[in-house]
Amino acid sequence: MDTMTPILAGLLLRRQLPAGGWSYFDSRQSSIEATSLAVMALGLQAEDAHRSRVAHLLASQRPGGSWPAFFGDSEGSWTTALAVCALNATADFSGAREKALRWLNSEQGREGHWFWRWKFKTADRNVQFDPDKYGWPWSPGASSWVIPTSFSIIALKQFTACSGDQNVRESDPFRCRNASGSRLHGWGLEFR
Amino acid sequence: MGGGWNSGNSMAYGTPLRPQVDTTAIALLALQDEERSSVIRSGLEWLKERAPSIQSVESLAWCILSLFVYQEPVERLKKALAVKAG
Repeated sequence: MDTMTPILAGLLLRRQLPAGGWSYFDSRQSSIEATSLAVMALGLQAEDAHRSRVAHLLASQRPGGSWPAFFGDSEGSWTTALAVCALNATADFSGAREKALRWLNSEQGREGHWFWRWKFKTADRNVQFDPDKYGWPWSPGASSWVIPTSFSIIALKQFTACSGDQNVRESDPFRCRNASGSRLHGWGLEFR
Repeated sequence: MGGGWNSGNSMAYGTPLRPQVDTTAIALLALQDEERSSVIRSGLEWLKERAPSIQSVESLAWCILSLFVYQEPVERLKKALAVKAG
């Protein structure tokens, strides 16, 4: 598998769009999901190239702190959490990450609203779940789903772990960098 | 249903919904530092049981990342992924 890594990294780099991001299939429009995953997969190899990839990601952040699903879209989405995960692997861009986390903290699944909690408790019992517990939606105003909730939790926990040196686990290969830029083991999604 | 996560709810119209590999793997990644509750243990067991038969490259990749975090052996799965990738 280790011999496969540079081959797969090369394949990934060849699929990079001229504008700097990545897309699914043959689309020419950057997908924030694909770009964030590619940035994480390629890691910090070749610092200059990494900066350029991150710059593309930063350029697609919306003024309110969120990221859209696709470059140029006008609405924030679940990919905000994934973009934060990609940026958490760096020591920089704390302003962008903090703005994103503020946006994430302001988002909640539709069932987080009192009216929908009441509706799911009293009238709509076909979908069985505890409406007092809610997470994050794919897009603002929708109900919570497992994957956006999971990535939001990862982004928040990772950001907390990467902002300080507490809870350092030496055996954990998931790594991030602390504020001073030194490599540490902690919360992350980077597999090395 | 014996563990794992569906991407939406676990029950609809009285019927348990089937767990999915990538959703389960990503949910477990998010819970990696939580106390090993029965929900986490059953999700992990379901993922381990399902792992050898995963066909999708993406699902297998998420599965490897997740099992690795939980300190489960992943060498055979990595080899399987390498074969699928190329």
